[in-house]
Amino acid sequence: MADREENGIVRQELNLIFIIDNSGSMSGEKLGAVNNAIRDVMSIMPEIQEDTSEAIIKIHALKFSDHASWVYNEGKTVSDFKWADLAPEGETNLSDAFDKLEKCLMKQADGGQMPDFGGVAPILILMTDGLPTSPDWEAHLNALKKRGWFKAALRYALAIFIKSDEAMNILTSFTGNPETVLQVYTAEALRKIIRVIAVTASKAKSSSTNTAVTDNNQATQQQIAQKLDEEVQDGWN
Amino acid sequence: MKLKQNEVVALEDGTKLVVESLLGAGGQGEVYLVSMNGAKYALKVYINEVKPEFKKNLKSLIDRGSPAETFLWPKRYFEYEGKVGYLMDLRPQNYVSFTKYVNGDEKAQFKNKFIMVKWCISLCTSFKKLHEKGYSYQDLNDGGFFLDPNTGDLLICDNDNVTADKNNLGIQGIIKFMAPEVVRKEMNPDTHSDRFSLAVVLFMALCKGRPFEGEKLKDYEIMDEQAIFEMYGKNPVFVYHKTDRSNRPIRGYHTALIKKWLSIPIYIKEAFHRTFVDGLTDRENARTTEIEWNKFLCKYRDEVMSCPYCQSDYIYGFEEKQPNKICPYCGKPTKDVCVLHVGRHRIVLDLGKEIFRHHLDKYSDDYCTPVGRVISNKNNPSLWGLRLALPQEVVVRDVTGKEKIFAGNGVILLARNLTIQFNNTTQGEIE
Repeated sequence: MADREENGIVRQELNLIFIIDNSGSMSGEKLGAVNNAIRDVMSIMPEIQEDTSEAIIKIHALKFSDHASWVYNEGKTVSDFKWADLAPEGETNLSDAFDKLEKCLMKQADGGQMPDFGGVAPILILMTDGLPTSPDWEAHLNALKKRGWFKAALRYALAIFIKSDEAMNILTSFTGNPETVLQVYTAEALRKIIRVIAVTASKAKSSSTNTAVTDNNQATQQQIAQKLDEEVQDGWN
Repeated sequence: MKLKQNEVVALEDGTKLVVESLLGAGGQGEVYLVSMNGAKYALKVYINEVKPEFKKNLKSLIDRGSPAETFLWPKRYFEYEGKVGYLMDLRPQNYVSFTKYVNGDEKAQFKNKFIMVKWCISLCTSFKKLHEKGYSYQDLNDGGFFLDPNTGDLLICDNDNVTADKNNLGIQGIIKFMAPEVVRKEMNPDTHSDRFSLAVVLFMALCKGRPFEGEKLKDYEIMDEQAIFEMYGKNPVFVYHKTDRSNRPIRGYHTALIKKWLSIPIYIKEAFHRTFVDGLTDRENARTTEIEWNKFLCKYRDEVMSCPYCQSDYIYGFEEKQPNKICPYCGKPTKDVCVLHVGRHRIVLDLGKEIFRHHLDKYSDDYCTPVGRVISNKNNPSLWGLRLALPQEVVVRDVTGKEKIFAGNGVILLARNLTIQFNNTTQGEIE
């Protein structure tokens, strides 16, 4: 006897998008730390994917220097996403990154990467070490902000080894919330922070757990903040 | 992490536990592998502060004990230097998560439909026992269940939210499993919402689908809180609602569900319809109970058979408009099988099929202890027999009226028109 219909339930798409600055200034320890951190996240993602029947996680990576480009042309499943270390090069064209992201955050029927219906709000994690060299970034961000998928997204930004109000302001305008912009000063802190954000957010977003808070992003942010408090007590502020 | 590797902690009576490793972490707590007096256990430790009423409930669960052996029930209370949790047995290696099964992972698929339905029966039996003890589970979801794909054995984990019915300690559940009145925050979870969630789990097990996710998904580009509230709380529409066809599964998308629903027996379809349509509003009377489920599921299990050509499982079709004369998967003729009629039961005697205690005793609710199994002759595999597992002898009468006595562990050669006197009150006929 055999059950011949061995296939699975339909799962909604959850897109996890890393936006990574690989400009020249990121060379050395910074980009090394980012590369390690992504690998570290990928080592635990299979477990998170296995534990949910609600979402299928699709991972994207957008790197930006002189221009922005996708590491893969489409979101990859946890098992298909393989990381090749990024090398530093060129300037910091954040405008192009925002452009590429905007085109990605449209439904597939319109040429984007988001599902045509029933998708889960995506997770965006931006990592950079400084100021953009493209002065018109704000206009590009404003265009991006009009996208429904961007508005719904859980957005984080990591300021790597920098402490400049101007840079922090740019990142805050991306996340829309100063609490989701995190400053990182060591490779180990970066690894932990990316891990906590990516893992906690993926877990939270891949389950329709009922929360007391009506805004699911807010609830997830609270969870992440609590985890960060527990796990990353030093090395960042 | 709340505990460190090799850390020594203690139970309240001073018994020492050595922390070996972290087994897993969830929203509520972390589970560690620990050793106690040389034996290994799992220790769950809560991440957040635990309220006094939660502690009290946990202790009471431990004192009252497990409702059935399928529950991986809290065994000992743990409180040490401000950390609270409980000790339980380890989950044996042969179990895989129900989530893996639902996701289509090859290693987690039931060996066959007979085994799958057996697991579902075990699930319903477990919740019947839990409810009989005056408890409600309150957080039924795929993550709490495990299965042995080869035997259909069940294990239920995450039992620390179980409370006396109508008593809620803050758990609401996972929306896609919750009864709509709980999603709408009109009521706390209880036995009746458990029954709704049980039907959702059974729907996933039998059909690999979700009962309220169909065409209406297309109304929402993004499944945000509002969308989920509408689909599961405010206006849930069963995907196979008999008259409201607005939320049918989407062709080319809900592929597994569409295919599987076709092969579900009519009485199971009706049981789902009742719960997911009438049961949306009539929470006390229109949600299929565990006892009713078991009746239907046993009927399903009894009529499952396999195709001799393509080995697919399908039902004989006693209650369908027409019995299956051909295999729905390959189109070849259905095999010629004997059917055992005993009481109201009709059991298709295909190779490997089992009869259970409840078949022979209409007052029994033991759906899982086999009392007979169809086997083939080692030397001549075309000869099939019913191997008995009974404490008493049985009398078999053939068509000529000739009687023969079989020992309780004997093998009755299967043939048509045999009458089997199982005991003083139960007689079966093979047709």
